Amino acid sequence: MVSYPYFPGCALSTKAKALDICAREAMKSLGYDLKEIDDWTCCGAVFPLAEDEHIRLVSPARTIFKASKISDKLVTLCSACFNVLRRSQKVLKENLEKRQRVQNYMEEEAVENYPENLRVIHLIEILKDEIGFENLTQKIKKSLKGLKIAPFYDCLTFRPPKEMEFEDPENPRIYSNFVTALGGEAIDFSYRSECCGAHISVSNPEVSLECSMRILDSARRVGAEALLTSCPLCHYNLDARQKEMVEKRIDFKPMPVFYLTQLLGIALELPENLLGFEKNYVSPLPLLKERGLL
Amino acid sequence: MKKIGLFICHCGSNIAGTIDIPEVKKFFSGYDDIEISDDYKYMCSEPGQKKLRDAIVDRQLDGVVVACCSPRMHEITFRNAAQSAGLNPYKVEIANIREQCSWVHQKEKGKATEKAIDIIKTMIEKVKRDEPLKPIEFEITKRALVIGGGIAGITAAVDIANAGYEVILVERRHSIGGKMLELSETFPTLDCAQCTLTPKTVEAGRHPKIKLMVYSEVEEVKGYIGNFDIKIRRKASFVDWNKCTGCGLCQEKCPTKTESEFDHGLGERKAIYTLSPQAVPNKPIIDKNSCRFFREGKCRVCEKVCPVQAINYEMKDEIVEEKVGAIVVATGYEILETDKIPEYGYGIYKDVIDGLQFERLNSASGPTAGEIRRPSDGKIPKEVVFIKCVGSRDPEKGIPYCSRICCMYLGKHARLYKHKVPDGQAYLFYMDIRSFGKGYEEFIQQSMEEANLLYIRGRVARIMQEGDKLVVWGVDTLSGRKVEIKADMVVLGTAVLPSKGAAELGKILRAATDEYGFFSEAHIKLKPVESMTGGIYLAGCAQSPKDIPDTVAQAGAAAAKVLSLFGQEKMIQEPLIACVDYDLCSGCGVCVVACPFDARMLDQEERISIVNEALCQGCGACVSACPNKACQLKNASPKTYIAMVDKYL
Amino acid sequence: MKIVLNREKLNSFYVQTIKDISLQKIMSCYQCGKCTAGCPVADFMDVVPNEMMRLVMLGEIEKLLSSKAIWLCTSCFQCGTRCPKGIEVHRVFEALRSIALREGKNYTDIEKLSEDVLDEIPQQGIIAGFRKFESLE
Repeated sequence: MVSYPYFPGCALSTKAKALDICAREAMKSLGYDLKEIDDWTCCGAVFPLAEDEHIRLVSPARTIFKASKISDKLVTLCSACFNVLRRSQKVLKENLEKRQRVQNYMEEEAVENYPENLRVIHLIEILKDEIGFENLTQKIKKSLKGLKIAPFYDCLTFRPPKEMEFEDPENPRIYSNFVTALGGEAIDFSYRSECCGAHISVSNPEVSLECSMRILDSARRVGAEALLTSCPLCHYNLDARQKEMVEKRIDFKPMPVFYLTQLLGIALELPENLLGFEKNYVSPLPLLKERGLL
Repeated sequence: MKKIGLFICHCGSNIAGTIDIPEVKKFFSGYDDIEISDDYKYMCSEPGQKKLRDAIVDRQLDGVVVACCSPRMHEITFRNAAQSAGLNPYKVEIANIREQCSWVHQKEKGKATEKAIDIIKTMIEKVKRDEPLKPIEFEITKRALVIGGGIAGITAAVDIANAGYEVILVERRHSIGGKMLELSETFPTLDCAQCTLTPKTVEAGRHPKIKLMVYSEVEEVKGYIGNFDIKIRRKASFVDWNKCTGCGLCQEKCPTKTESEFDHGLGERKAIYTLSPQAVPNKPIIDKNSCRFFREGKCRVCEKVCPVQAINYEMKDEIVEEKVGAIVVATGYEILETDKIPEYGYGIYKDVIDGLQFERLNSASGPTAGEIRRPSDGKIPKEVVFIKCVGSRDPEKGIPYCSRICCMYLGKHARLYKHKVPDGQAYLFYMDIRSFGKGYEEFIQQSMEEANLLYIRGRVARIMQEGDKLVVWGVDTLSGRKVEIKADMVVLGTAVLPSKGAAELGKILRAATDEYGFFSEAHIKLKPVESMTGGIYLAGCAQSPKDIPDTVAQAGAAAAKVLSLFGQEKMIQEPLIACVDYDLCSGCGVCVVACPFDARMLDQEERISIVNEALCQGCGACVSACPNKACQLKNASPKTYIAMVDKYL
Repeated sequence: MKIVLNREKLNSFYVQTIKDISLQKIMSCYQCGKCTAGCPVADFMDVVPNEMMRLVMLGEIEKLLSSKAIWLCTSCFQCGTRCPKGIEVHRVFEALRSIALREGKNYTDIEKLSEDVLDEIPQQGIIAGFRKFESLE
């Protein structure tokens, strides 16, 4: 059993529990122990874009330091946490002046040995790079055969590419390959990397609703039966807000939106109570039952 | 009974798509005098030409008709092919069934086939009557004349001279270097123009094969490619340059000052002067218009101070005659006159200057020794507006074409301004930024980033003087807002025009110029350095506005054209020219008047008209003018044409 | 409304602050408009991204600080990712938001948000939305 420090973050501990529980259980069955960091604090939620806002780097720096005491990798899953932690680590590694300022707010130990080598990774990177998608296909217990999944590539995991160093956001493949590895049919769609509207759901919900609807419509047009995401905020916009879309447009047909770990859980035959479908606004149960996947 | 071969080309589907080729081929099988009627997909291809060559040899053909595209395209191809098979090339004719038939009758296929047959029939009649001809040969005078001593003329002259041929380099002003010598630094490398140019001027000045004729102008050109007779006016400089050592004492002591043309009115010079400190040759002239002696009849200071008695107030213009085989026209450019754009106050407000004036302000040898100071009060301007397309791309008030250099030099000016006045602000109004050359786009982008130049997309409407500010009314079409700037100085990127007198020179040379006065090239893509007249080549802005790299490249190309002419032992000329039936010629001289190439003249003794074979282009003007039908074109006699028409009718 | 351009305006405190906290070479923008062309919310903006860049270049900052557009930006980073001149346009938006917030100009009114939304939306969304609220330093 390989053990990695794991940073679930606030959403996964509360509103996006489905993403978290299946992650831990599924990874366990694949031989990975995701060990939650003790006393973790907020990742920062938003990476500071203003050059003079150093204080926002303190929280991610502390998390990174904690993780470094256990391993040289820190596993995250929520897109926002991944974005903030990965970019913070990059800037703290490369910009010594900034690091110096941030360290003024940290304990002595962290000041002396900044963990330059720690890599913040996304859970999908374990599946792709350590296990390998081909091996994953061997390890799954149930193929998602015939399930037409449209992978959605959220902004925060992929952009800005120079800082995230993940995959080219103009032609991302990783989730499609993941769906294929699980035996499902990956549906590429035009809006697969467009913004869902993100946090402007708070201030301008009508605008973000429009953004999310365009994405769902685009997936529907090419025959998708469900969407895949790993971002709690995208999930909120694309799933929970379908309630409003149905009200807004009479012909709007709801479509289930899976977390990537839910799909992994189904393929690994985790018990249904660990899949967290009660948190999905559009229930995937009818679709899964129809295909004999549950 | 003749043995004529007919070859019909499909030209892919260009001809075969419209004309029924098997039908045409069948029609001419067994036709009078036709020995073989054949066709091929592409007659101009190597296998197509082989068909033609083989038939000439195997069937002993004494004439060939190729029914294909225009003779402008492949007449030469098939004539060469025939020649290599032993047939006189002038026994090959083209029946144009593409441009004159298949392309224009695509919707009437049946009629097109009939017309193709008619066209071929007439050309068979022509071939039957064609005489075998030989090209005409002439001697070549292997010396060149280069007109214009700017960077274009210098480059061409040096290139030709380095190949071992004599060059006469004629320059209107009294030293060479042209506009480039007036520039401060050049884009995109920002290297000093003088430093780049002076090694070239020095080389031209002392090259043993280059005869420098400055302060001179070409006055008359007679003759033709390979053999031109030139008259050059050497203007009176009033200084005997053979004696003058260029010591400069006369300039120092001369009491009369006047506006300096070299500094574009921003500085002063004496009445006896050299153009610049680096002048080649370093010899002065006396400007009659400002010299006190010439104006008032007294002074003679220069004469008194000259240590070698070189001053000669009696000097007269002199006409020098030269023979050359080729001419390179490198007459350069001017910029738009000040009175053309009154709304910008150009020529009215002192601090509205043009790009060349800015060059002088920025030049270490200029009137401010390189400091950026505005003309009105010598203050350092802190807000400077640069305006592109002043008169260019302006069909209403200026010229419709793009002047090609302003985008780059104004960007360069603005950047140099920022180097010298770091706390100043440069604004550049533009319509498009045309930075097409090597390293140009990078230069512009770097200028924007590093010098914080503010590029504003839009034209300026007007400029008003208010106090010591120039209020500029412009627009930023990118934000859709009108903008107003209170500027300290305005620099205009004025339109590039042909050099003054270019059109007149064109007439002297019998080389065509366009509606603006730029020399016309023979073909815009394939003959860009050849003028429309044989033996006359073009370099630099004489042809169209150009930057220095393009000018130098074209000058090199013009030199190469001259050298490829000089590399031939003899000039070869097409023999399809006019000839005279002396029995019919009455010596009336109508043909002499009609000839546009000066190729006809009267033999006064014999009272007949003769043809200068080198000049005749075979246009046929004399043939139609001749009242006695004495003038004829070789292989195109009236009898032949009547036979051709008869066949058609 | 015409824009009066001068050195003071082009180098104003606002302009300098935007350059300092965005770290972007504002003047290198050549107004190709690719940022706007790919912006997911440009349709809803009163000042689109390339126009925003242009107005910063011209020193017209007040108009931007009172625009709706700077708050509509979702920080999806499409603009910065695609900019051919490497300008992180999203950082310029952030700089404008930062200036507005530091001057006490808020956009989101926390009182008006429904309990339902606050219950359901993940924390990251709330923080991203309300970062604009708490930045009253």
